[in-house]
Amino acid sequence: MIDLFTRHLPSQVSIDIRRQYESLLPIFNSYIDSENERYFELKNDRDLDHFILALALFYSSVIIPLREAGNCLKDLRSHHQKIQSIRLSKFEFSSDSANVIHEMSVEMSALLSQYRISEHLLLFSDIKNFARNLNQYLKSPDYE
Amino acid sequence: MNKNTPFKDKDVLIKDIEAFLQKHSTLFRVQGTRISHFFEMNCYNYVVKYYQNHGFDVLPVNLDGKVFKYKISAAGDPKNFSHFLVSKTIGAQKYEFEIHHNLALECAHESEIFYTADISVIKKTSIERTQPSTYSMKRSFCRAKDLQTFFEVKHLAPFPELLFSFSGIPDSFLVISGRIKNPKHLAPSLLMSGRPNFHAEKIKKYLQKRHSINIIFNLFGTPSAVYSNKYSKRTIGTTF
Repeated sequence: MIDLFTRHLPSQVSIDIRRQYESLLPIFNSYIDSENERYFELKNDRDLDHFILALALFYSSVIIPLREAGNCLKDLRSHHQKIQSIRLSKFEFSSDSANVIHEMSVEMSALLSQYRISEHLLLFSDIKNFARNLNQYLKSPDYE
Repeated sequence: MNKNTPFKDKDVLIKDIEAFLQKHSTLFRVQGTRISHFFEMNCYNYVVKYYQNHGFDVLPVNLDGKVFKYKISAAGDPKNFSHFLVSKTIGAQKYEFEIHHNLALECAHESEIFYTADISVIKKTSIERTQPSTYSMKRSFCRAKDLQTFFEVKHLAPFPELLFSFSGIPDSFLVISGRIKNPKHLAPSLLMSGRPNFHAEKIKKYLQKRHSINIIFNLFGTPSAVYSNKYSKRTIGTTF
């Protein structure tokens, strides 16, 4: 599942996300396999559970830092309207780069909202809470 | 009305995400290489926000035309990079500090030994540029008496050796005695992107109890943990 998210990433970021995924997976699986009713819904589709975990790691490790970088330029400009870009060594982070990131981030938010996946679910600090929140989410009905 | 869950159509979700990733693959490939620098830059921005949220006026200075230049490595003269000036008036006294990126700090107990903090808050115009006898070239640094606080930024998952090693740094570089109560600064803080496991959380609690420091994890999840009052943090006064 994680391959889908890491194949377009530079190697270091890809390695980092894979490590996170591989270290969390055994603990996450133990919640899926447990008889505790708090994790009951997770038993229905293990692949889906793993997919959402991989999505969460990609979201917090790639989407959020990029989005925050865009916000950083916005914040700087709010302090000083003259500022048009940020220089990080030889790289210049301009309004154009920030706009491209913003468009990507808006599209991601729309996608998540289409599937009612909340940021709260994805930005977990503890895998146990993630398992509980995912269970809760999968339990919540959607009416068509 | 059919009862359904969004994941009756799991394959559609996966296809949609796949299409999204493919569409933005160039962005992820190119900007992905800078995530670590972005994290440092974001943390710097969070520290500025802390001062802004605590009644300071904040002003970016030393711009290069229309460009704010971050100093993302220990090399280079700080005067060639931008920084923030933060100021606050309490009673008749105006307090002014500079927030720098990758500035060398001199040890509080031994001259001419240095450590470069990722982010440091110092008294205004207190950077010195000299050639210490033990160095072959000039270097810019801030003396401990002028250092208000500092931050270490790590784009990593927390591990015990890192947490324990950070806890020893303030003792060597920060002057604690004689500080006035206000204005307040965040106590020296370790800012990390990674999520803690149970052990790292336990170490954090122990170290924060034992030392006047903050250890903040999972900053991608809760960036406001640095600057928002919602999250309790240790503070220190001002050297004056």
